[in-house]
Amino acid sequence: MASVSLINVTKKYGRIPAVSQLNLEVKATEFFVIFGPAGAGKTSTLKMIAGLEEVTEGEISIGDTRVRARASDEIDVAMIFETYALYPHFTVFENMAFPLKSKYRKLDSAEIRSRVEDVSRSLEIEGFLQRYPAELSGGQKQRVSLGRALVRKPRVFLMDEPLSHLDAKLRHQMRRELKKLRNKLQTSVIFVTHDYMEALSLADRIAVLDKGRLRQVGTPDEIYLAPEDVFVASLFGQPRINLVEGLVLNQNDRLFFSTTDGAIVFPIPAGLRECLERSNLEKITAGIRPTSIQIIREQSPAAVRVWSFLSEDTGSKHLYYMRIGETSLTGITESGGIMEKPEKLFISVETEKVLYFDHAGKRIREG
Amino acid sequence: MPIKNSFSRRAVPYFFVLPALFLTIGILYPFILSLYYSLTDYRLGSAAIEFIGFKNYLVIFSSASFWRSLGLTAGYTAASLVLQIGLGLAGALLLNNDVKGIQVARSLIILPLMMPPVVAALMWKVIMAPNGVLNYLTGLVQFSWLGTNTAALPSLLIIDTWIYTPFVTVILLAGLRSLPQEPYEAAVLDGGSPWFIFRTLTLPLLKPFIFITALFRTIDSLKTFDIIYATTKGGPGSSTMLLQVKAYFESFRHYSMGSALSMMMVLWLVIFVMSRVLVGFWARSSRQALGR
Amino acid sequence: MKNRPRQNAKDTRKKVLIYSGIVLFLIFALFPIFWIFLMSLKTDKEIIASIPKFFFRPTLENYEAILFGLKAAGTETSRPDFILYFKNSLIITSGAVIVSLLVGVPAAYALARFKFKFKEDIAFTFLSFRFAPEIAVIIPIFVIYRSLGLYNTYIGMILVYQLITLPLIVWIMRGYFEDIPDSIEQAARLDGYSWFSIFRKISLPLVKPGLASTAILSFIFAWNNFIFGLVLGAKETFPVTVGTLGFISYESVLWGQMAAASMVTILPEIIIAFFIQKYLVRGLSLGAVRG
Repeated sequence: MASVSLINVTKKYGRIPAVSQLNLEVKATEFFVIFGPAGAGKTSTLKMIAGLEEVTEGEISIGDTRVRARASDEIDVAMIFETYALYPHFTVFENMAFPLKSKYRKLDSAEIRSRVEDVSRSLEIEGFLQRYPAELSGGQKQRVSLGRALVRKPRVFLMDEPLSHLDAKLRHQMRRELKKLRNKLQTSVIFVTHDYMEALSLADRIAVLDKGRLRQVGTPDEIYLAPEDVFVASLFGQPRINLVEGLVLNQNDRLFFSTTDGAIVFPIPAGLRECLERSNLEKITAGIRPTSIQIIREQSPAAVRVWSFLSEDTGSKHLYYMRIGETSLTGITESGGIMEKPEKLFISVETEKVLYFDHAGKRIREG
Repeated sequence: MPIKNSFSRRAVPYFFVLPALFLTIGILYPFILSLYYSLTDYRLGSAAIEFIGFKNYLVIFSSASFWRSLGLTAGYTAASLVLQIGLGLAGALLLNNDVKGIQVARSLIILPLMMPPVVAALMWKVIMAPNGVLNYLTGLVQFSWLGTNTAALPSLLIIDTWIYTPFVTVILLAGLRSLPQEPYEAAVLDGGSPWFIFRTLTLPLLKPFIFITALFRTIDSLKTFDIIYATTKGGPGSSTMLLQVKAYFESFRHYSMGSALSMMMVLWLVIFVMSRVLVGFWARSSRQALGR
Repeated sequence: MKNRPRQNAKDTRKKVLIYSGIVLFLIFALFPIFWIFLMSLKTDKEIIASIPKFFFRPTLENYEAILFGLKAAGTETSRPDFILYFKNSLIITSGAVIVSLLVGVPAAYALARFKFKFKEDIAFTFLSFRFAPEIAVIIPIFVIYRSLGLYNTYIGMILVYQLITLPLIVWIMRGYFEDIPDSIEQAARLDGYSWFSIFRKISLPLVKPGLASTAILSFIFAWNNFIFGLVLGAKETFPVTVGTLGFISYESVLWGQMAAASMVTILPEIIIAFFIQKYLVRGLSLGAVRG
């Protein structure tokens, strides 16, 4: 196991920067997720760590050794590719044995056999050892790819969106297995994904990338509950966080958030007061996660009347598209469907969970 | 762990290319030499070579027989292109139908391709002889196809077409079979006639293949030598004296290498220009076919 | 359904047209070969008869003449050299293809995978061989060969034939190598293998079918060549293509033997074509698709 550090790493393809001034520190034995939308530079970063791409500026180190481009065979890093990259002309056994036969490892055939068989047993693919990749399903190929990396006991695991080509059910299952695996493994893992659920459930820490730049690094809680800005907040959560523009009102020496048409009003937590007063902001954006909106049928002081209403039933979850004044909100619940007319419905917002952002999109925090 | 120094890493691609590179340099030398010779009065067997600049070129440019030869070459190429692509397209369209036994037909059609052009030309020389079977089949009596002034070039065209049309057919057939099927299904549903479908759907998508074939055929046609040497050797008269044949006789019968090479430089230029033009057409039709 | 019979008639008519078109094509393509085949089984007297014979008693004397040097009845000479020419073709063509493979496949790999200076210039140089008129190259090579003593030698011929085989092999194999997904070779790098090992153990095995068809294609093109053998060789190294012309001389034309020689000349190619015609077509068309 080894730590990985990126210092001021920039990658340009021609004149186009794919990664700009990236600084990351991955601790040994940490499960580190690099997350971002398409084109964020995640795969470029991973390839640079693996020495498969050249760093335009900056340096990357694994443990104490600097990674040199094109020296991928030396650095003892295992990578799982998005398309599995299995050797088509080798059997599953030969695929997994291949890394063990390279000149850097020189194991004898008995040792190779036992390692391959052990790993294949733990991944439940020991029945396929004589098959060829073309005969395997997506999920099976993925396991073989995982197995090929595991037999090596590398210092670092790199995983490039390994679950993205699997169907939903398989993806769930593999996520569970990866979690089990990661508890067994004592190696650093750098996992790239654009799926926020994978990021939140697997990571020790997440680095959010956008167009090659680092937006935030933190634990899943930090990222979800305390996003740096609107961008990060929007990336996590399905349906997307509701971003509502409004004003800060001072009423009876308490601060309230109100939409410009006044249809939605709720109190702002006291802790943020200092910061708001200091920055003298009047116009802010409230970020309300759909899960923080409750739909109630009776009037209460905190309730806000709903104007129009559309529901989408997706089995266990219900999505609600609401219109209140000039604001559209999306809500989601797992309780029963709602059949009443909008005039009879109200929403109540869990105000402690609301995030506030200034005009530049940065989050307003305490203190 | 052995650490390779960065020099040997950067040198890796060159090791792969090195042997081929040597050969290339080995070939480039003659190329440059021929350019040089074309600027001299080099005659085979003579020790003295004198640099005479563009004199060879001036001589051939003012020589009627050179222009005649060039004209013949251009006309021959143009005619063979039209014939071969037309017939080749027809053949490809025919073979594109999945009727019973089509696989046999597809394998048989490439047979003429398997023969050396020289051998094919000899075969046709026999067939086209005054007492050959072609006269028998066409009812002509003792007509010398290849020995008659006005018939020689057309006869050569027939031979050329016979040899190379399968090549065009194979490539265009592969092209036809690589086209996506869905647009056709949609067009049929929309009620298009076969001719309309062909003109608006098939042809544009096939154009890249047609241009590639045209490129190969043009280059080879301009260089025609084998067939002519085997049959008419430029005659009768000089009705089939295409440029490369002329250059051959110029160098190995009259021994004027310098003069012959100047002709070849001109031919090379023509080939180069035509290739650029055709590659341009190919690239544009390729882009259009892909919708860019 | 009322439309059925009419539809069937139209379909049948279409089928008839297609079949007749194909048959016509095939007749045109195959008749000459068939005719010469018949000719190789006739005596010279039968061949020059004023009315071509379709029915006759076949004889193998022509083949015997060219293969074993037996004097055929009614002819003055036979050409025992034909076997020599056939052997020459075999040696030169196979040699050229082998050399091109040894030299060209690694080069194709480098062009497909690596980034290095002058890459596209080198690639274009290989391609430009195809543009050059043969005579333009032959004359200086003729002069050079005579001074180096390579005239009329196998090595000289094999070297010159590189002009035919090398561009083909490099160009087509480059495409096949480019088809291998980058990620597979990257995985092998991470598994701890050098580029040479990857080339040997991963890339080469994966392009084997393409390699076979490309080798065969270049064999056919090299076998069919005429002009190099004509100018740069003499009796000892003439390939079989030059040899078939030898049946025509100012005194006489040995029609029957020439026909037999033609048949023997195309025999290897027909055999090869028969067995791998599927790959051949793919090879030719892939070359076209890549441009």
